[in-house]
Amino acid sequence: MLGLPGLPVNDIVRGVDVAISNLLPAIQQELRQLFDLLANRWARRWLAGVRKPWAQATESELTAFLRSWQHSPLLLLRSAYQALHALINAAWFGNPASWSAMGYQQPPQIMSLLP
Amino acid sequence: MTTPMSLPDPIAQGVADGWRVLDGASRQQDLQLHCDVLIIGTGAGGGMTAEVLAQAGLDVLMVEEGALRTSRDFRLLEAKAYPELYQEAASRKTADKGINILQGRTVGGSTTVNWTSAFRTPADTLNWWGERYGLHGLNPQAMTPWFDMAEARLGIADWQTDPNPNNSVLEQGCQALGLRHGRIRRNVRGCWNLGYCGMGCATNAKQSMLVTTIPAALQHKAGLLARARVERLLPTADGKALQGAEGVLLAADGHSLTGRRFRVSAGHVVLAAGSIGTPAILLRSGLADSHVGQRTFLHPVAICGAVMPQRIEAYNGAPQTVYSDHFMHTQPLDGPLGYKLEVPPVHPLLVGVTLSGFGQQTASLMQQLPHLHVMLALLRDGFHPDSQGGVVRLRADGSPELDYPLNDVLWDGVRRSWLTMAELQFAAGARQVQVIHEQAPLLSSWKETREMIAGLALKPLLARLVSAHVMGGAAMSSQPDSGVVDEYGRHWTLRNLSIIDGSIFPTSIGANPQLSIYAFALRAAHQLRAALKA
Repeated sequence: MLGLPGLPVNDIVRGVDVAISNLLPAIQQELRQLFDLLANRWARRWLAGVRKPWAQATESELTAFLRSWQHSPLLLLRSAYQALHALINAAWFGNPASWSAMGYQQPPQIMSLLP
Repeated sequence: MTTPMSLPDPIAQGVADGWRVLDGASRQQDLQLHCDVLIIGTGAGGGMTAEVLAQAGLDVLMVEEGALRTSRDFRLLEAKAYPELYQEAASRKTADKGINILQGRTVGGSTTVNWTSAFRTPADTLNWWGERYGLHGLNPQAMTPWFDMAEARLGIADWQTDPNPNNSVLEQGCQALGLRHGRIRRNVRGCWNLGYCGMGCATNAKQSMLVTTIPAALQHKAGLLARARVERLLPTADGKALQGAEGVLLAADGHSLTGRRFRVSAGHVVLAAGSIGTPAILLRSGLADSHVGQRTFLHPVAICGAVMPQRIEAYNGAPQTVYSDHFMHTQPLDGPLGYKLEVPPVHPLLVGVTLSGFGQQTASLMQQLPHLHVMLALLRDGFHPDSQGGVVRLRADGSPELDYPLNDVLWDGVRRSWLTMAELQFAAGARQVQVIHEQAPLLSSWKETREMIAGLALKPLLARLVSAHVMGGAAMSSQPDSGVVDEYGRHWTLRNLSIIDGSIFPTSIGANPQLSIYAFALRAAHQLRAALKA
């Protein structure tokens, strides 16, 4: 999803968990349904088009899956793609470990004055 | 001048000195409270009202769903700020998820996290309300003293510092194309020009409700109950007035229930929970007439990104200092939707979730973050006959949801605004431009981009739309049967209920709404004060 090699995947997964924990129960329930669906092998195969279990899927299979949901004529699949996109990108770009590669830093004139 | 070793936090100091502040999360028992005036919500409407009434000696209690967070909690960190300070961790969405909504949820409401843009309600909006809705008392001349008062209270003034490079791109593009543009006034005192207003102001320069009217009200013996969600208003036996309100206390995570409840009996109730929040409380209370929740507006925002040859560092510096209203005036007010052009601050998390695409494409754009310029077009909804806004409704668990259908008149405005923004960015020297749409590539020429935009599919969740301005949903009206409240926010049937927040606006404002809410709140609060003191 992020297109970057060598990322701290466990940290990103943890960041996704934290992000979900801050959402409304009604939205958490929707995400639960999405992850249950993705974990179902028939749904993975027929809705996501990924034959092998997720951990063994190739980069091109994953790309094809994401692209097909991103551009799907079905609003529901587009919203599922957007949910994955938002959670993963928030978890990574909200993590200070991602900042130096982007050349981003917080303003130094104030950071040392914060509690 | 010496550099201070740490930054002062006058609000935390006030609490330590004995202000009447209760935290719902730390209560071990149910709460029963009494007051003259219960104010539900502490944003632009509730904050202004609290100060006016508390200074008059009334016993005021403010109840806020969010937590009390003060400058020492503001660490310029998106991953901390969004869950702590925003509705639904800054990921609130319309029912079909087509529009992402930024709205505050903390003491001070959205004023604690807004980008400090201060515009008076445009004269054509006020005049329209007179002509169309019979609200003649709200004409620009009659409103002037209230704008003056709000501006004086909150230090709203011209911003003397140069715009940051992100804003300069908008200014230079307007100059190159001959479009009218101007500088944005800001509600700040002693601003450090950092650019992190959206994460709470760590230096207390932003004159939000958190650092102005709320502490003033607390100083006048008002009370504040934070992390407390009002579930419903409590009508009197004859159904003609309210006894107060009741609700649940929230745990330290801001969401879970502690199992403890609260109940407030009050002589007068001010509903100031914002658009979405205010209609939701009326709906949960079974006190909603057919207008409640209807015509809720968003200023839906279309977005266009650009890679500039020079460093922009759009995360540094006052976030919004340049605007253009050129396209607000190129067609009739109720014609094809006009749009206001502004730029947003560009911080990694928010831009990371907002940019379209994934994989290598996003990665290479994110690696150019310091060169990234982003432009916004805020569409003026609620004037065209086909622009009816959205409807607030309740989910099964009682939480509110805004259903805002995207229709042709809106999409027409979105496409025109993409064309404008891309042309402006190229005119200002952009190397590449990308409309924020899942099918839009990064392109290097205006001609190519223009042709590409003409072919883009106009569908939710392909085009990225966002909003930071929720307005309407409990509209004021000149006649009892055509709205929820009168022009002072007085409920048409419940005699001791006022609504004083952005939900009373009968259309969108056509400008960033904070100053409109402040001015209307001051007007309503002074009327209420006179009535309650009589």
